Amino acid sequence: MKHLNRRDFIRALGLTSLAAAGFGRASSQPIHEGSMVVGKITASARGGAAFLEDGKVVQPRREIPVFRDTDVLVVGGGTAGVVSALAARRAGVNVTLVERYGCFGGLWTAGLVLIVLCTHIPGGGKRRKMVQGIGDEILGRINSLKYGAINYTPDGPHDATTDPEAAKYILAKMLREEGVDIVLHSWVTNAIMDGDAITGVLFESKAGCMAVRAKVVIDATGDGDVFDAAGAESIPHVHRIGLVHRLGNVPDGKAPEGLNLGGATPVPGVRWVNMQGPQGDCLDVQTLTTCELDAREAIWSKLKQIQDTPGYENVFLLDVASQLGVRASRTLVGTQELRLEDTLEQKPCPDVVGIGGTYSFLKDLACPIPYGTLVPKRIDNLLATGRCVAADNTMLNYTRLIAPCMLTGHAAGAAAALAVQENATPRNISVAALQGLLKKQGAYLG
Amino acid sequence: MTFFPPRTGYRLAILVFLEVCAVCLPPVVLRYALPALSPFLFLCTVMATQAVGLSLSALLALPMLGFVIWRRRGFCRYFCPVGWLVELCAKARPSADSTYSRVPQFGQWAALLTLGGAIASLPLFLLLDPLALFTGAAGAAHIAFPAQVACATGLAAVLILSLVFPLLWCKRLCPLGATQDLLAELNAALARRASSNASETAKPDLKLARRAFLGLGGGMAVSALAVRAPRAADEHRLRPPGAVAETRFSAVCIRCGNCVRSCPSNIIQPGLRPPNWALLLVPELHFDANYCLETCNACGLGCPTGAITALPLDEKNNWRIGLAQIQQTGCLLTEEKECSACALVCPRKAIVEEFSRETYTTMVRVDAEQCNGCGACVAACPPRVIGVIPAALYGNARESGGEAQRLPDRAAGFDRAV
Repeated sequence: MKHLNRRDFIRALGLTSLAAAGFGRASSQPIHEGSMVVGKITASARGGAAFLEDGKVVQPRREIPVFRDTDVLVVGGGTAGVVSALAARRAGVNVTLVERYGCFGGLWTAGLVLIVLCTHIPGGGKRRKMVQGIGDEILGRINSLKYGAINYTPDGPHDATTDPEAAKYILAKMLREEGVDIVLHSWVTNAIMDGDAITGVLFESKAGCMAVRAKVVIDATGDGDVFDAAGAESIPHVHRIGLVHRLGNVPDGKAPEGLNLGGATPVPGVRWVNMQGPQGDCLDVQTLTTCELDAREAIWSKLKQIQDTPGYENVFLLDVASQLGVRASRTLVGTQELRLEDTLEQKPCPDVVGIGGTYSFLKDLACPIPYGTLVPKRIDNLLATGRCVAADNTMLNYTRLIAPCMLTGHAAGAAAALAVQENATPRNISVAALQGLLKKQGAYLG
Repeated sequence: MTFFPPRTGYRLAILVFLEVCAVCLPPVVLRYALPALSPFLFLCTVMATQAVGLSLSALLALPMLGFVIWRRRGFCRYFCPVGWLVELCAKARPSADSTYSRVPQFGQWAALLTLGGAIASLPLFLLLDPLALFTGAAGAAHIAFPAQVACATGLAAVLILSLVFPLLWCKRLCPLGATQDLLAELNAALARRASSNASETAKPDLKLARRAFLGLGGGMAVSALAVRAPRAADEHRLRPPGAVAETRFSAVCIRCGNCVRSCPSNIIQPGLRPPNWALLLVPELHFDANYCLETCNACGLGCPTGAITALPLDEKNNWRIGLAQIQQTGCLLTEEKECSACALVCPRKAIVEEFSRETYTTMVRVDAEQCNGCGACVAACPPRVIGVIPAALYGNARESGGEAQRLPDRAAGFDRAV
């Protein structure tokens, strides 16, 4: 058995700079309660400490070790990122997926936004499932777990709601089954550019800065951190920032007026409570800090109100999301934009790469998503997916939801794989071939 | 007495042409012009609004008024489509007696009562105007089922009556025909008075004056008793943008259905369940499926009587139909669910989200300064907790033709929300 600990990791990284770092075991040190001394670190990817130059803080100029060299790099392991990694890998290319937290699913799991909206459209008294393919496969597998999901039906009246831990488990399991190269606990800091083409991304981790080079990069960060670093044009937004929590021991039945007990989850007695929160700039760390602290206080005062209500004394706070509920930050300026008018007028969408179910402002209509919403205008070898795809100020409230993220994820992954195989930039791949691949992978395109 | 020159084929062709026009052409062309020709409707509108506006209606009706005074029953002879239809019906029974010398002049009484009623805001028999009947029936095909039947019933009844009693409608019942008789009689009386001594003419003049006094006075009295401003909240109805004040609206509206047909959103519907019978078929707004488009002012342009003022587009958009009200219980956002449907669709950005730091919740609020009551938010709201309350209910509507209902003009136009 291999022991994996921080120092091993760092040393392996620093000394070898190899794609597949091996974790050497410290040889002869005695072990005390699991801890052991592993020797001196001889090199690091930091290139030394930052220093002052004319009163300004300056980083040392240094070579960045290349940690991976891959076909498709997916940045962000949220819903869209995971689905794109699976799609690209299934299409037969090597995929590296980098995630800043220790689990997959992003806002769907760590953010505790448990309801999967926009999977169906109404029709003929029953509902018709629009979101198929990999996204639906994930939901099906979560549903097969005990307490994994509720309301997951082909034509039922309600939207599926999943258990966050079940979703994290299934997402990781599927990624490993497909052989996706997973890198956790690493935070994107910059793009590696060759003119207008992105050739990789820099990450910060406990081991310092590292590079992953790739033929195609998929920005599944939600905030468009990669395409912004690459110099792609984007639109900044402010939106409400909330923080979701779950309550346990909630009695069945209708909640008294004025008491928000949220929505049902697969676990009996547990409910998830959404929060709208104040509008703010999600890219500003001070805003995020204030929102996080204020929201946590608000959750406790709301809990007290619930516990003061007769019959609800035993309700407890199960958990607060470990990820702040950021709704919108940057959206890409794509070669196409998802626009409300086009959807409501049901304008023909020849470049459709996914059809989503309906949502409040879509008047029972399905929503075709064109390929161009994922493609930056100028930057090559780059695709956006998930919350940050090109959408107008209304439609971003659609593309940010879980099911549409599954669709844009699937499309981005398949497109990236095609681009690698055709040795082309994603902007120039054949959309017909992409649609063929998506259909082969089970997607519904009308 | 023969009203019509015997050229039925020619007139039938014109009639068919009119019908085709009424169905096919935009409202302004024929549906507007035809009722606007009626001197009876014109007089009632003048009585009801107590003003002669410089409208197309006045431009068409004033020369017609002069013409029928000069040429007795000139309208019937040359213009009335219902008259032509009635005459066609009469041809079905050529042997029937159609003198009706012993039948009283119901039409004159109807005309006088209606004119009197119009002064007190309820023109009692306005709906019997043949042009209103014809226009209503001609476009009934464009209206949804129950109202369709109601609009087409009047003309059908006249024609069935004419099959049984040929020409009875034209000679004794039609208020428009009778108005022309009254005008001609008045003209003749004035002429006699001017030309000869008083003793000769005293008797017929007195008869006319007595009839006018009783008719107009009776109409005023009945209307004054019947008409009242809506009091209870559920008696108020939303009226199309540009509608004159509520108490006058039912007096000026001839229920021709032009506004109903011209509305691309189908939000204008003839009132089938009005709070009182005087408001039957008077157009109401219903925002169940659509709203008053910021790109449309067709209803005012198509109104032949000025019940709905013809407003330029920007003025129409600044007209306050009502005020949106959001019921917080049931609002998804209040319940912390994902929704901003109302704020997103509002063409005037009149719905704003408000975050409360105390309760750490977000609510949507209507900016009363900006909201014109177009209803865009009503159908957009998933839990349907938004309604529009009529302008009169929130206090600043006056009886002065709705002037106070206009919003302050804004320097710049407003963008459609995206």
